[in-house]
Amino acid sequence: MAVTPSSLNVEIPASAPARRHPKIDLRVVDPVRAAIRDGSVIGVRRTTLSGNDAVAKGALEVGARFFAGYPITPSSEILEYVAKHIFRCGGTYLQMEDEISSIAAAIGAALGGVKSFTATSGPGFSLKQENLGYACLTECPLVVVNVQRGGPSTGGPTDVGQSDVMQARWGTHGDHPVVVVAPYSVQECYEETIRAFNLSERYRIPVIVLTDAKISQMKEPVTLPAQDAIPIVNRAKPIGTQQGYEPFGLSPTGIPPLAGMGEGYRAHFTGLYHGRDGLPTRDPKMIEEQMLRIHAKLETPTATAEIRKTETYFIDDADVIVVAYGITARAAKDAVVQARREGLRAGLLRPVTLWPSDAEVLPEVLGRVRKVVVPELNLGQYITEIQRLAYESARRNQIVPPEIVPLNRVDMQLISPAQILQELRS
Amino acid sequence: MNLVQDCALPTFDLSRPQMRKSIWCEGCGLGNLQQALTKVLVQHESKRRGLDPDIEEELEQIKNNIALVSGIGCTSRLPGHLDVNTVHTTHGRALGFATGLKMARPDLTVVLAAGDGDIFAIGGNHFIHAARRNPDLTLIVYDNESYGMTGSQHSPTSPLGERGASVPYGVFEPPFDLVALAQGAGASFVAQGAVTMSQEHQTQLEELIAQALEYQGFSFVNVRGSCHTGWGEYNQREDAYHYRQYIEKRTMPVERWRELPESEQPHFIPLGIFVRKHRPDIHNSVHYQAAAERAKRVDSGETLVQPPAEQPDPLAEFQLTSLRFAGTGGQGVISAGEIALNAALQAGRSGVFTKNYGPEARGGEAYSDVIVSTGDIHFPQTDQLDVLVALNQESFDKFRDTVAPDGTIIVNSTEVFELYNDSRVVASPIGEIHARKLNPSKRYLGINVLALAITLAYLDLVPTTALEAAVMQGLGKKKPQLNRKALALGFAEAERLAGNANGAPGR
Ligand code: SF4
Repeated sequence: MAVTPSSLNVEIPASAPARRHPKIDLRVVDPVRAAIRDGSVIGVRRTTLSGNDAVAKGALEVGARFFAGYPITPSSEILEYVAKHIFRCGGTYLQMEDEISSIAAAIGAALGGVKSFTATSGPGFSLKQENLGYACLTECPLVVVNVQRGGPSTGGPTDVGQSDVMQARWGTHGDHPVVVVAPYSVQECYEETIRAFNLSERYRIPVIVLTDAKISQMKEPVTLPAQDAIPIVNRAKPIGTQQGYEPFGLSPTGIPPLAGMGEGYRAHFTGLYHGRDGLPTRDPKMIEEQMLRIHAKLETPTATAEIRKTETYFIDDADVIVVAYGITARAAKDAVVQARREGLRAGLLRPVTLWPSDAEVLPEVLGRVRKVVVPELNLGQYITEIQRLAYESARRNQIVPPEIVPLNRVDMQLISPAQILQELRS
Repeated sequence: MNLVQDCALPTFDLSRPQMRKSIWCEGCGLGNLQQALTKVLVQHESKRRGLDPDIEEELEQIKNNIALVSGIGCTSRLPGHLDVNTVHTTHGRALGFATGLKMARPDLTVVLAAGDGDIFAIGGNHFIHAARRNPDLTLIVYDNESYGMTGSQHSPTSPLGERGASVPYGVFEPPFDLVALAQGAGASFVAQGAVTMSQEHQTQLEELIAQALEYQGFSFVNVRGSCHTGWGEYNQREDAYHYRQYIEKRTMPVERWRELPESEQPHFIPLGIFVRKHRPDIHNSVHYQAAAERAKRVDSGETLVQPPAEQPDPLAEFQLTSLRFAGTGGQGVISAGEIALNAALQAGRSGVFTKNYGPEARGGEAYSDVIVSTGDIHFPQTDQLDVLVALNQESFDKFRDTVAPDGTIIVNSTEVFELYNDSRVVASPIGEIHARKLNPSKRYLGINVLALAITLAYLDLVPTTALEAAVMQGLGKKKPQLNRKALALGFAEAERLAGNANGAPGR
């Protein structure tokens, strides 16, 4: 069955009446296709990109104007893409002396009021962890891209892995809030990077874009929205009197507005526990208030609705499902399609936002299926979260939890659809 | 020229009211440093921006445009005391933060205050690179030759033989020669001041900081100071007065110090400006400006097109073909794969391209894989290849076994002689057509487009118009004539092969 190609890559004549595009809705999976389906799209941009290029392009199109990075396989193309294009967008960049100063520079620029990001891979991600914690505690909008490869240590620099799932969540010391998104295609690398920036700006948190060696290097056709259809969120700025501005104050949303430097709202940022005014404090009550607030701000109904994102694929009537993310979810989709063709009631849950885990969709589905297969290119990381959610939901509903089966590979090869299918069948 | 205009000038109060009570020990030289910095900062900013600090609103503006950045340690608490934009960062990394801030916000005056352990030990790498890169930052280091906050451990500037918590029997590793270090790394403004008991030294310190702020580029002022409650405790200088005098006694102007015999120099503390030469800061350097200018000429070249058709039902069967282009590095097999992917895009198909990454790709052999499909492609690889395009013998030998039994192997028979009677082979003298008819200026130039045209047309994978568009919008832009000819030759050869295949399959 062929798709008629005739309608594709037909340029929209410049004489066509200019109409503004409605913004695409990044909360839905495959947002550009969704917008095309409901007819709100007039024109799109079609091209082929690598995953790394798509990340960098998304960042620049959502308004990132500073980047600092350090060469590391397989993420260097992000630095290279930025180097080529960011001046044209009115921004600037630096290749820093190391991974640590790269994230430091990005935070410095971000606190100055400029959307910033950095990109790296496994070992570099380890090196960035201390400053990532600084961004968490100072509530600095920041995007960090980690192109996962084999590990620990140097591991397989050019090989695919998914072994930083827990590091992305818990890598820096101390209790900290963080959002992690895991695109599974080149198209989604672009979309999720945009969403990552928007979340980081809205909630004043670092957001991690977790890709992998495979997605970063492969190229796919992409359908990008027109520039004016990209939703762009900028951090809320303080208004009113500058005296007594509280960069960490209380507000109905839990997210204090953040001034850029030079705007009159002078602030102090420190990695020490601090009060609402940003100044160091050792007052137990204030420390607790702030620690709880930086977590609670991600848990409001508005926040969870915007942060959570899970693809449900043939889930409605499923009794055996795969929970997979990133590159592995692609094998899982093929396996589910094949299983369905064979008459099995198989489905796929694909967390697009890995952390915080989707406390709405995941427990609901885990509470009504017989079997859950969790394929990962590591020795079992996200499965512990799936087990936690499944057992908790089973206990709450007084039911028997589903059978949860790990499927792991750390030989730098992808888990194949056949491997997953076998688990779905048995 | 004296930059500090009047010692009697009132020091503007920059302090944050909540931070008036500092964690510093009473008598520590850091207080004097803060005083000096506050005074000259206001003067510098008011001059730079033409503002009058006596007018409240203008003083506000002055404060708004200053950013103070620090790391971790006693000195690094300084910024927090002052009511400007202040960033107290992580240990050693202040220069990284400040560099990013200055790059993104060149309009701000960015100043760092940090200690010797912070900057020269854990932050040493950033120090030398800031000196080399030359952002317009002013770095003030309070050098008490030790770690104060953590309790008197030795630092990279601790003198040999002195004692500390981590060197109970004496320092046994030599200190840095800071001036040589900074200069070697490229710093073009290096000065040293001191906090002692002398008002003259305080005035000189103000002047040095003022000069450093005035300097456009990376300026570094090392400030020799005491830590009487820490390092002093271990070295019989536990009294602030005594410690300051100990420093004061050994100071001399750098000009005089330079005259001393080399063996005597280490016993004295030279004060003044060591290095000051003109070197444009990174933003104003010729090369940065040129790069930014060149980059602006890049055209994004994007146009809007009509949205693609709706994708088919995921459970429906669709056609999926996997291809591998293999040959030697020079034969352009990587770009062949990329063009094939673009042809798929042009034809409204989905596709995935993967290049072989790693040592294999860098050495002689190279290959790229493309999957083209009428439906969505999920898993980006297949168990077996449907099509192999082998441009040389090695790649044919290497990948023959990965092709499906009913697959096709298009072989460049000009370079591949041993065919093993493989029934999947479709032999085409690609090399010969290339050399004779395309007549390229360089060996292998255009052979990938030729092979691609043969392959895609022979297999009827995408309309030839889609391939034409992919080639001409991609690398065909550079050599349009050659590539058009390669396409035409390829399509003709595909037709010939198809005719052959009807008569004698597999040849
Ligand atoms: S420990 Fe030393 S450097 Fe730190 S405040 Fe006290 S005297 Fe000053």
